This record gives sequence, C-alpha cells and structure tokens, in this order.
Amino acid sequence: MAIPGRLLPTAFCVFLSGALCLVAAGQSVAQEKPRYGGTLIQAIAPNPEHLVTILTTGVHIHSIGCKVYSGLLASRRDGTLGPDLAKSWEVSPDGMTYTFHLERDVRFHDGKPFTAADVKFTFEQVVAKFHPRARRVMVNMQSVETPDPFTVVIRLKRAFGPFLLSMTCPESGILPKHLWEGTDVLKSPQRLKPVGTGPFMFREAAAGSHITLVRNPNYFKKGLPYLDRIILKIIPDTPARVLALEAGEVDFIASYFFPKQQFTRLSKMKEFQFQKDTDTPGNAIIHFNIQRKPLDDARVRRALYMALNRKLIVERADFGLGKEASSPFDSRFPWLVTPEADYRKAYPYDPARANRLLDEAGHPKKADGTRFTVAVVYMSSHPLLPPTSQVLRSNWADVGVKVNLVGVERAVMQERAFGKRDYDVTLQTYTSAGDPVGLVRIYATNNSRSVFVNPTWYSNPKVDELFSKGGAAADVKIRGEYYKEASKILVTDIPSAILFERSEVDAASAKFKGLWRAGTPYERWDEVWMAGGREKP
Amino acid sequence: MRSFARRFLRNLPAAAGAAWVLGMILVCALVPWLAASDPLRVGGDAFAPPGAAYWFGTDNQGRDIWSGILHGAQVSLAVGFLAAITSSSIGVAVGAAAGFHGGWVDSFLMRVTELFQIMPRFFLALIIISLFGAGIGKVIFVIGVLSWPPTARLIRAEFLTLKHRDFIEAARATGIGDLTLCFRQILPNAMAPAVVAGSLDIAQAILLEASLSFFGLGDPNLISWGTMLYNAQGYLRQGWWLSIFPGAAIFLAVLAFNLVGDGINEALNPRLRESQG
Repeated sequence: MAIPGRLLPTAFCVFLSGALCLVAAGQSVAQEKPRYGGTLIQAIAPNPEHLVTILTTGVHIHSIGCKVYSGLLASRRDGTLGPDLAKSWEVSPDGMTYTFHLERDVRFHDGKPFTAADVKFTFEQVVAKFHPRARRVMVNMQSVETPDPFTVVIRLKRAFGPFLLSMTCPESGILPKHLWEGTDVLKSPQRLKPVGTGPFMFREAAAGSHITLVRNPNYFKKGLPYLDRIILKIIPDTPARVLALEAGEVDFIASYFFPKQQFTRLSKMKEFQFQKDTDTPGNAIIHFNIQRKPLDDARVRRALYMALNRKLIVERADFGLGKEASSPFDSRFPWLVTPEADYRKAYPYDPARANRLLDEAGHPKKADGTRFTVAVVYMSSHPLLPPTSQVLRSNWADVGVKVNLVGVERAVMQERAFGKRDYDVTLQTYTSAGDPVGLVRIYATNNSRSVFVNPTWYSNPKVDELFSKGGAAADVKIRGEYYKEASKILVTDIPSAILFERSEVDAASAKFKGLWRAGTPYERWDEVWMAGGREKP
Repeated sequence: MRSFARRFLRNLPAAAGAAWVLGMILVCALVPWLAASDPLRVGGDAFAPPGAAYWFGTDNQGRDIWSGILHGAQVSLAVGFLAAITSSSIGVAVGAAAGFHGGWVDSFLMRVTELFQIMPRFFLALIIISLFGAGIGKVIFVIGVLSWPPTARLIRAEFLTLKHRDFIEAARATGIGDLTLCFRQILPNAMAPAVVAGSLDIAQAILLEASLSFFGLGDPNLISWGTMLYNAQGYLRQGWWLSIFPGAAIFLAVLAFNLVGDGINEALNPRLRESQG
C-alpha cells in the first residue's frame, strides 16, 4: 500500500490546475510526519436507513461503510487498483479465473479472524443476491472456491474486462460470515451495527443526528489509521452544509453534498482545500430524437452541435470545473481516446459554419429569422441541466433555431424522454461507474423503455458488436481499440453527443492531510491525519 | 363617478399605488424601446455589477437584469390581470347563480366553493404545474381556477341582501325576466366588492406566480421576477443585485395593487366615507 506522503501535494499541483491546489501548508507537507489523533466531521444526507455498503448504491451509506468494511482490492487516485484485504492477485490469460491471496493477520472488529470463508459467503450469499449494481456483474460468476483459508479463486462464465472493479468497496465490503450466516439479510440487526475489518469501528448512530466511528486499534495495517474518530453529521439542507463548513462545524463535504456554485467563492479562502474529479467520470449529454424531422438528418445534428459553445456551457453549468467534451465516452479513460474521434476537431464551435450547414441541409431562414423549432426536454430540478439549457437556447437562437424549453419534474421527464420518447432534444447526465462499459448504454441499441439508457432509436449493429467485444476483453489495450473504432462511428453519426465532462469537487478543512487517496469517493481514510496531533497512537 | 375619483385620489397611498400600476402598464407597452435586448440571451459578461453598461448588472449567465425586470413586468402583469379576470369571472358567475337562485342550487354551489376553499392553493398549484409542465397559460389557468371562492362568496352575499330590496321587487313586478333582472339590476349594484376583491386578486396572482417560479416552476421560455429570484438563490453571496431588483419589483407591484384595492374599497364604502367626513 502507498506509504503516507507518497502522493506528494506537489504531484496534486501538477495534476490539477494551480488554483485548485490549496493545500494550506504547500510543499512542506511532503516532509511532515503524520500525526495521530483528532476527529474529522463529515456532513452527509439523508439519514442512512442502514450502514451496509453492499446492500445499496446510496453514497451516504458508502461514505460510512467503506471506512468500516474493506474490499478485496482498493481503487487508487491514479485509476489503478491496489491491494486491500487481498495482498496480491492473479488473472488467468483467458480472463476467466481470478485468484486472490488474502492478508493473514486480519481480525473483524469483534475479534474473530477473517478468512476466505467470509469472502465466499459475502459474494455468494449477499452481493450476488442483494447488491443493486454488482448483482449484474456477479451473474457472470461461475464459482467462488476457497482452496485454503487465505486463497480465493473466482471463476467466471465469460470474460468481463472490468471485473476487478467489483472487488473494491463499496461493491464488495466483506461481511463477517459468523454474524450474518442464517440471518435474513434484509432484516438483520447487523444492518445498523456494522462489523467489518476496516480502519474504523462503528460506535453509535443517533438517527437524524450523527454516526460515530472510532479508530480500530487492531487494524491489519500496523500503525494506521491516524484519526481517533470520524463523525458523520446528517445535514439535509444544502446551504446549511456550506454554512457549517464555513463555521468550522464540519470538516469535509463530499461532492454529492457540496453545491458547486460555492466553489469559486470558497476556493479563495485559505482554511479550505478542494479536490476535483473525486467521483467516477460522468458527463452531460444531448440526445437527438433521430426519428423526427429535421433531426433525422445527421447534417442538421452536426450543425446544431457546432452551434453550441461548449466552453461557455462548462463555465456556466459546471462552474468552470468540468471540461468541454472530446470523446463520445470520456477522456478520463485515456486508453480509448483517439484524435480521429474528437468532437472539438470534428465540430468546433462555429455559428457561421453551422448557419451554412443548415442552409445546405435545406432549412433556410424564414421571414421571421427562424428555421425551425425544437422542444428540449430536461429535468428542471437538476443542478446542471437548466443552466445548460439556457446557453443552448441562446446559442441556437443565434443560428435561427427556435427552442421551446420543456423543464419538467423528474418523473415527467423520465416518461417523456425514455418512456414515450416524446421530445426533439433531451439533455441528460450519465455516470460511468468507473469504466466505459457504464457509458455504452448511451448509444447501444435499446428497445426497452428503461430510464437512463439510449432514448434516441439509434441502432447500429456494428457499434453494438464493438461494444460487446470491448466489454469482454481483459486487456485495456485491446478494449481501447474496439472503443476507438466505435468512437469514430459515433462522432460521425452523432445520434447523441457529450456536451461536457462533469467534474465533481470535494471540499475539506485545510487542517487535514492525506485525503483523496482513492479513485472513487468511497475512501477508507486510514491515512488521513490532522495537523498538530500526537506522535504516537 | 367623479366624486369616487376625487375620494380615491385624495387617499394618498391609493393614488401612489395607482400611479405605480399605471407606470408599470406604460413600461410594459414600451418594453421594445426601453429594453431591446433579449432578457434570456446568455452573455459573456457574468456577474457584472450595476453600472453604466448594465444598469442593474448581469446575472450568473451574463443576462441583463434591467431587461429581465422590464420583460418580467409584462409576464407578472399578464399573469396578474388574466388570472384575476379568470377568477373574478368564475367567482361572479358562481356567486350570482347561488345567491339569486337560492335553494339546492345555492347549497350545491356553496359546497363546491368550500371544496375549493379548503384545498391548499399553493401546494395544489405546485403539484399541477410540476405534473403538467410549466407554461404561462397553465400558470394563469391554475391561479385563476384556484382563486375564485372568496369572490363567489362575496357576490353571493351581495345578491342575498339585494334580491329582496324594494327596487328589485319593483323591477320584478314590471315582469322582466330573471336573467335581465340578475345582470341589469342586481349585478351592477353588487360589483363594488367584486372590483375590490379583483384588484387584491391581481396582487395575489402576481405573488403566486412569483412563488411558483421561485420553486423552479416558472416557464423557462419566459423571464419572470420569480424565475430571476429562483436563479439568484445560489448566488446571494456573489451578487446582491441578482436578487434585490426582482425582489423589489415583486414587492412594489404587490404593494401597489393592494393599495389600489384598499383605496377602491374606502372610496366605495359609504361608512368609511362618512367617517372621513
């Protein structure tokens, strides 16, 4: 595991733009020795209904659970996977068999030893049956074998490239078999008294108020964690969370709970530090209804996209944090990015050219200066989409396209965009869950009325084939080639197009060091320490 | 009529309210000349403070707030007047029918009125607009349909007292029909409270539209004062001008219509007239 201080703040500074790097003590932190003690207070919402990570996709529960439960592997800030309960692992060349070698001296918080039997129980009896997201990955699982107490062998029915991602918390926080076996998973009292192997132990939960976690003195990584206590304070009101941070009553607000428009103002203050891109890559996207005229014509779709000032959209809707889109997937998966499929090159912001293209496509301006009207459907309570729609309306007015904004409630939007497909253009946001397989649903053929998939009627067998090959291969180099090929087709056909890559930002008090070691928001915080603490635990 | 106008204008707050209302109507008519720019046009200059370039500054999207206030006045006045006309029409019709007919018609119509009265108006409007989508027409309709019960009860009460007066009995004795009696004889004499209620309804409708917009349920294709306030919520610390101008506009408009309503009431009410000498 990365030793404390290995990810130097200087590295953060290079990684991020200068303005974002507000680690108060600057470069000197690198030489500073971590201290023990201190309490970190994190604001979350709403009140968690239980505390078991592998039974939910709720981020407020994951923020708690991944400090109490450990995964087999842990994600790292650079996007790679590192060890956690498994100290090493091997993948067979055909990508069908995964062997994990477990840490030997690990105990659950109740003192009982951790063995491979707990892993087998967790995957077979809980994750495969109850985890809302990982369940779909686990259908690929043939068997979980435990040849000895410290080895786990998982065999798959068919190869699945991103399988190892599911071996991290929150998809796989390992449960103690001795406490859960024979209980009704959905009703077990363990749901509110989590016992795991993680750096912090559950102490108490006061419903609607707070949850207290305390240091695990017997954590299997010797000398860790540094903090004495983590308190998760439940603050349902967004402005109240920011006020609490400013008043020093709260030390950490994860991106889900932090209103981005406060970033510009707070980032000027020395008491706070921020980290961008703490969530798995996500985007904002425009879908064209390619069954309706004139959007059935790819030339019209290209012209409309070209008329959008995506840089301005990022500035206004994502508060300058995100990035203008380049790839139909996400440029934060560098292994699938190709200059041959780049929105910025293919369709740079150019209203004059967009005007010409629309003229050529047979939609001249009428006497009132407009060409045609499109209805744009989006969710009105979404934080990013209303400002996006306002820039879009203005930009398209510049090229003579009249926009009728239809901002509606979430349920109504889902019915119109995905159920009835009654829209000309719809604005949506998607997240990848850490791998481009999470994004193929934007373009893949979809005949269902499910929400947050492809609502455009676009169906290209060639693209679908490339997607299934890209999902199956184990090596990202090979996977990348398939996705690159698909990207070229998708940029040309443009049934849907990414507008910008969202960036989520966490806010924290500057007195804490060692935050943000994981590639996902589900941090263990075993290496977090507070300035001015003790030398010894 | 002249004495009414004199009494109304002698009441200084009422005159001030009327002046503000007339000013707003004038501004609405002159908007194309006063604020030519599209108030929804996103500009490069965001959060510009009030100054020579932008009198009231610009918002987070670089939109001109001065232009927004003027165009918003059109929306607010349109909603106010049209919703009040809708609610007054329904109210007068229901109240007149109930009061004139009496009996089971009265009982039935009053139960319906009570049904509408006990419904939490704002929450119902919230639900209807969020389910059927925001549009200025829907907003006017919803406010109009939900605001008529007080007018209906007022008109009914007036009808009940008027229909047994001697001049009505006399008119009835001449043999004129019910409809003529109702519309030519009773209604003109019952209109005073309806006019007062109507002008207060305008203020209520403006406020209700602003409240709906403040919850993000305004028509996104139009600028309204409530929408501007809704948008300004997140930026209270970054630019006071985002919220102060639309807030002041709503405050002054609602105040003006209330003053006008009170002024009409005082000018028409004989008892108040006497007490003023």
